[in-house]
Amino acid sequence: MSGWIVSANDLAAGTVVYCTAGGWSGDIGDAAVAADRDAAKKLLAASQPAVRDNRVVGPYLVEVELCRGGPSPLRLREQLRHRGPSVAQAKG
Amino acid sequence: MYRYDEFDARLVRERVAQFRGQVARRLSGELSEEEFKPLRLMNGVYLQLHAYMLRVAVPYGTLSSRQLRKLAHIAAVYDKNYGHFTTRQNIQFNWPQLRDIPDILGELSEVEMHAIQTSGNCIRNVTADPFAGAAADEIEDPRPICELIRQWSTFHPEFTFLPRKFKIAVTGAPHDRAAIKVHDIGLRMHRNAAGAPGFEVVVGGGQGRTPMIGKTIRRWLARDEILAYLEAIMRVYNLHGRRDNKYKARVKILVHEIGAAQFAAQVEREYENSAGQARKALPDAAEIQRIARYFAPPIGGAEADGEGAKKLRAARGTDGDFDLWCRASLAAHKIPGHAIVTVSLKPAGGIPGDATAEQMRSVAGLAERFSHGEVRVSHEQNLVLPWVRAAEVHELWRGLRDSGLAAANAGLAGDIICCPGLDYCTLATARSIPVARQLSLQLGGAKRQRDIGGLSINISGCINACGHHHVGNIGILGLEKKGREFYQITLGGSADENAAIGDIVGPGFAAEEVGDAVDLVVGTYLKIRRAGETFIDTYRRVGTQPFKEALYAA
Amino acid sequence: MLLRGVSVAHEDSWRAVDDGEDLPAGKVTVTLRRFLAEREQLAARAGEVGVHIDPGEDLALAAGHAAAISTAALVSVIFPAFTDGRGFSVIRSLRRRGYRGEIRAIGKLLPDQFDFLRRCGADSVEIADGDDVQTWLREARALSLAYQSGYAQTTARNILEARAQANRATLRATAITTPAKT
Repeated sequence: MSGWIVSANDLAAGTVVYCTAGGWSGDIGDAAVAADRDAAKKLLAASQPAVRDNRVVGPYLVEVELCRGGPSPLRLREQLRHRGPSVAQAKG
Repeated sequence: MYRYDEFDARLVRERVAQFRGQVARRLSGELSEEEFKPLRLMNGVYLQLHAYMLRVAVPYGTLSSRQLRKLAHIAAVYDKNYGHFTTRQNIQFNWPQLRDIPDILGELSEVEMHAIQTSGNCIRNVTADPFAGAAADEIEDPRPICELIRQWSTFHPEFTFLPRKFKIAVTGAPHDRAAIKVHDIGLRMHRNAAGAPGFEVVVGGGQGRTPMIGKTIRRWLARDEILAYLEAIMRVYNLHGRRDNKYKARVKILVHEIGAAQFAAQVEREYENSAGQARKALPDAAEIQRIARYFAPPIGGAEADGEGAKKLRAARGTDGDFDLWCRASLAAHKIPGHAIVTVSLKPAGGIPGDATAEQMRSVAGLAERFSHGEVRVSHEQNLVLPWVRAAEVHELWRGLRDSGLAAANAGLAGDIICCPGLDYCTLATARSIPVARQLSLQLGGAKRQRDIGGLSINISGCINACGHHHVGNIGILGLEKKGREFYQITLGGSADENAAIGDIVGPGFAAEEVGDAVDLVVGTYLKIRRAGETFIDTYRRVGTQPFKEALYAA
Repeated sequence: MLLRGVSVAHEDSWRAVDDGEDLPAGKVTVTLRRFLAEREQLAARAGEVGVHIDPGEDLALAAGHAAAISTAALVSVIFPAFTDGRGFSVIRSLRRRGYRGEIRAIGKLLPDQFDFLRRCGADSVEIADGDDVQTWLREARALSLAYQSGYAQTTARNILEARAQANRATLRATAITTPAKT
């Protein structure tokens, strides 16, 4: 089953955040999931106050697959945003 | 090295204060993201996939040990303990928080550094030959001119809102190590018939989605005319460069559309009209000399007895690993008894151009001991120690080896140029680092790479070509098709004085096929090369056909 | 609102008049096209005629009629977007050719561009109604120094001159403290 979640970057820190039922979280598992396009539009609209309140930058919809562990992005770009770079920096 | 005087220092401090105010206005909501974005970009702050990214200018690629230590400190305190040296001789930090960036810029200002104009549609950080001042083949150190250009282009009242970004590169040597022909303006020093050093002016080169080799619009220009002439070029571009389409806004498109001759005529007319006034406005001879003095070689003179060279030869004779490293890493020095040492940031399996805070500190320390505290950044994303005594190269190498910085692949196949790609960048269409990492592992050790010979492999994660794939002997461009990464291969590119844009050989390859494809290309070259030929020599002799056959035979 | 120099101009007697519209009495600015077409009639209003230059449309025309433009009492240079920096070169070129009348920057501009506009040669800037005047005035002074010479002097001091002055001061100090050779 697929759906949509809303992601953005935290304004002050820049970190990747996901829109939850009551706010924002760095954990994709907390993300509020919209089951269809209409619900997705509403979810995106509901995230806008956080832009006006200078909490997040540039919220947008991310298509996800719903797995047991929670939502998992379909596109590679979003998988990388979620998991971090696929190449670990060698320890100095 | 150039040192700020009180005025340079004050301007940078004021800029930090100004940006601190802008960040505060953004965080308080006084500025919207739309309003803030151009302001942060003018200070090198991007918002990337995971976080903000800060690009710090390393003017013409010259760093002091003190500055490198500060970069290490910033990496350790404000970032995840590493930084990424770029193809424009700058350094990028991948994880700073916006609220910390004013403090980071404040720390940078303590060591005469900044992030001014490292992004935005303005004149970007001027780049130069990383061997400047030290190279045996050099006519003159181009860095005094670079410093003049840096000062002149900083907060230029007329040229800060150009149609698009603008990059200038300068070389003082006939062998081009600064890729001047793929810059918006490339300046190449040479002597005129009377023997006076001046610059050939090349305009309209560039990579990106419309790669072009620059065209010469002036064969020879006296050194003291440079700023006035640049001003004329910039005015023609600012007024007539296209602003209707972002992808056609670089000066290369203007030069291409109206033709180099017409562009040159417009520039000359503008120059003639303004030359008197503009020249009067230039720094006077005393100021030019003041700047030039900073770039005098820090070493006294030649080692007359040749003892150092003898010692180096002896060490190479007894230590095979050291000898292999020397063959890749040493370049001929202007002053006998010395060597220019390239420190490869391309360990097998590593991330090209990345250095940890510890590695930066190690290089800073080694530069202090062996290179008069001076380090360079090359557009190949390596570091360079320009003032090393031949007698001390062996000891330096041992120090580098202890820090994991002794990869013997500078200029060889493992010396891969690579952009951050989709692992970090919002513009990318595919990852580039994993490809570089895999290739560097499969290309084999120093001996095999030495056998393959000089070969540049350049990888970009999108059409914007930050990884310079167009000018790689083997270029790899990462794209996306139906949600999957695939990679297009070009052959025959070159970034030096014989600059060429690579040819696309055929359909692209899936991520898991790229390694085999590069192996086939390299294998084909090894089979058909003639004695003494490098990859590019062979390619220029035979063209794409044999490689096409090898790649698409099945 | 209009800023002249680095202060608010409380009076502005210029009126922009569209093509085809009758010219009212007093100071008027017209499009470059009209300015050139009605040059003879407008000559009678000497000192009270200004011209708009829109870099998007007028560059070629303006280049061909520099002498005519130099007779205008005011040149308003239009910035269609703050990212469109052609106006800076238009202003600079006008001054370079010796234009001595008022140059005004109008359109979409940022406070951060204020000093650049003035250094290129603008006398006045029309800012948007919602803009915070204090921000504009503050940004005009954010940087106290400038590397480029040959541009207009503003509150930003020229670094080359500052250096030369500092050098002279050092020389004087050295002359005082160095005992004369006998």
